[in-house]
Amino acid sequence: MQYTQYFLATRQRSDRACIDIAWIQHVIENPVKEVIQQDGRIRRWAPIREADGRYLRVILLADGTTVHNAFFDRGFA
Amino acid sequence: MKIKYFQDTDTLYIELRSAEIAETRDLDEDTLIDLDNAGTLCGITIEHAHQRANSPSFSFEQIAA
Repeated sequence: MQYTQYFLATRQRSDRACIDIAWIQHVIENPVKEVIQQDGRIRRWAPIREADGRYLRVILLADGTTVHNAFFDRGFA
Repeated sequence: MKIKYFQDTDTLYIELRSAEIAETRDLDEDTLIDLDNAGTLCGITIEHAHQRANSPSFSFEQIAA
């Protein structure tokens, strides 16, 4: 996986540091929902069993491989 | 307050308060807000900042009481 500088910076935060890279990989490969943003970036969601089934949102750049953001999305339904 | 600008993705991050973030929400597709457990705004992420916020140009002005 490739990462943006924003992703690497936010990884330092406690709410992001707890997100396992393997969970991000899981969301990328097994999304239950995908939305393409107007700028071509890709949002994917999947529940993470190890995190009490909470939904992790991963945002990829338009190249489909570079991870830009990942966070637990309380608003996902 | 800290402001970081990420040139590779044209992303502006404004940290208003150094607090434990409990939730990230969308304000719109290109704006994310970070809230603490009390729902207090702690940070804002602005994507495509150059178009939307004239970033990285920046000025700060403190108005005396």
